[in-house]
Amino acid sequence: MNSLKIIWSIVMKDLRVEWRNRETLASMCVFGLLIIFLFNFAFETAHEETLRLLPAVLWVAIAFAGVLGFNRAFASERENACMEGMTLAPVDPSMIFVGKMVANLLFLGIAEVVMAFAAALWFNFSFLPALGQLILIAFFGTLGYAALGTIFGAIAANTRMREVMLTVLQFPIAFWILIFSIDATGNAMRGNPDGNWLGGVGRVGGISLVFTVTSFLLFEYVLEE
Amino acid sequence: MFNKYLFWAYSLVWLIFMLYAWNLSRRQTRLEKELDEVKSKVTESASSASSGPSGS
Amino acid sequence: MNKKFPMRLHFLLTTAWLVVALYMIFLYAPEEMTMGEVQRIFYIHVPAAWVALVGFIIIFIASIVYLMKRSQPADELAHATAEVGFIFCTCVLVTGPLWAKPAWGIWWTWSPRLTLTFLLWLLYVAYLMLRSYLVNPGRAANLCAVVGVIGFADVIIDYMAIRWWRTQHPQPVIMGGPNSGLDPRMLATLLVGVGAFTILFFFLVRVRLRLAVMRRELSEIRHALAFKLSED
Repeated sequence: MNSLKIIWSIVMKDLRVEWRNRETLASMCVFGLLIIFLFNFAFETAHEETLRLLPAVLWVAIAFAGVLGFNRAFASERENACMEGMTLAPVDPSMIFVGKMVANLLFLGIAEVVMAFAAALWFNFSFLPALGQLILIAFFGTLGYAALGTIFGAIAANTRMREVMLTVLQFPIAFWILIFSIDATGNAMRGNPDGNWLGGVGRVGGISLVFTVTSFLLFEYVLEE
Repeated sequence: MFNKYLFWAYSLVWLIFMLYAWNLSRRQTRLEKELDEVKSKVTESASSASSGPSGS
Repeated sequence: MNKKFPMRLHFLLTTAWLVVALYMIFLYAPEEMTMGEVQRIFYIHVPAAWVALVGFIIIFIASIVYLMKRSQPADELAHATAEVGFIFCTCVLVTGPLWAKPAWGIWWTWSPRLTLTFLLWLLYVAYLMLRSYLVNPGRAANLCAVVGVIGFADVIIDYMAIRWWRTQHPQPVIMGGPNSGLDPRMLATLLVGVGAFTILFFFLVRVRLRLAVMRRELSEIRHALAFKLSED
């Protein structure tokens, strides 16, 4: 079977399953919103200094909402013995990885849009001037993060304390993706005072690509017996 | 000139290593016990097999 | 390895080297001018950090070997190294604040070495947690090897990223670099300390490996026994 077809079918399967009750997406959005709300409420929002927190708050919310989504991505597979089904299918495991990763990326992306709206509202800040740059940063950051979340989700599905295991694996390793994204986002929001926006985006892109490629190459070992 | 930070640093490091050594030693005794049990079961089943055709 | 370097000799050598190191730390190295006696913590802090890093490199190599060759000894080596490396890494994090507080007045700072050590420690924790939480032992080696590889990629990225981050967010220079203006006697003490910890590290890994070999023996005998009983 054509690789793209395989990836497409996995993505469509996940989307279709999600569409039936939209549980995962809803909980990701709600969880992310709650985090942004908490931080926004705890600090006086009208101050200039509070805006300094916005990139960090956003990415922390994305990070936690993401982990929530990654956990559920493999939880349902585990329950219905779909993991075994996928392992047995005569399909290149890397394609399964790409399919699951794209699905994770989509869900987290949708949650990010919702979170961005809420953040813009509550922090009184418009993302529009730097929108193109921000979308690039968000894309690359989420890509690397979702790649790690996909492989670690598959690994954690084999353990007794899945959610905890995924989190313990994800955060130390995705740490720099988050830090670089926060840094680049902050820079973009401030209008690139150093005039070097490509560097920030490049860093996020570079580190995300490294982790995405590594996860892609190693995924087959996670599925095989 | 006895420095309490110096004392605690070296003492805690020493303690950490000792705790680990103790942990290793405990695991070793437990494994040795299990090995002995299983080995005795092997000799049991070997002797019961040789003493008659009736299965266990 | 066991034939070429018997455990007893290893143990004696380790003990001797540690004694020499301790002598040099307390009786040979001169007292530091600004910090005083407390600076002697440096002589276990740095070697432990070095060993913790080497440990993870070994985990990485062992993981790659396992993924390529399915070599169980490689997997056992990775696991043993992870445990021992974790112990050394914990020592770095314990001695760091105990040195920083009297020397510079703060318990903690995100200096490059401490940040890297903390992230390394988190990776050790993740690796060991995965080992203990896995339900299916058949897959354990595979999964842990994958984490070992990704983890090491992360260590490399950590090292580069921290250096970049520090150029963006300069911190007050606390230590003019570890080897800046080091008295030659201090350097000698430090090197001997590094050697002592390294040999201690490998000794502990070998002790831990004995446990792994015993466990392998146990499961082999159990298998043989179950097979035999099912035959009867």
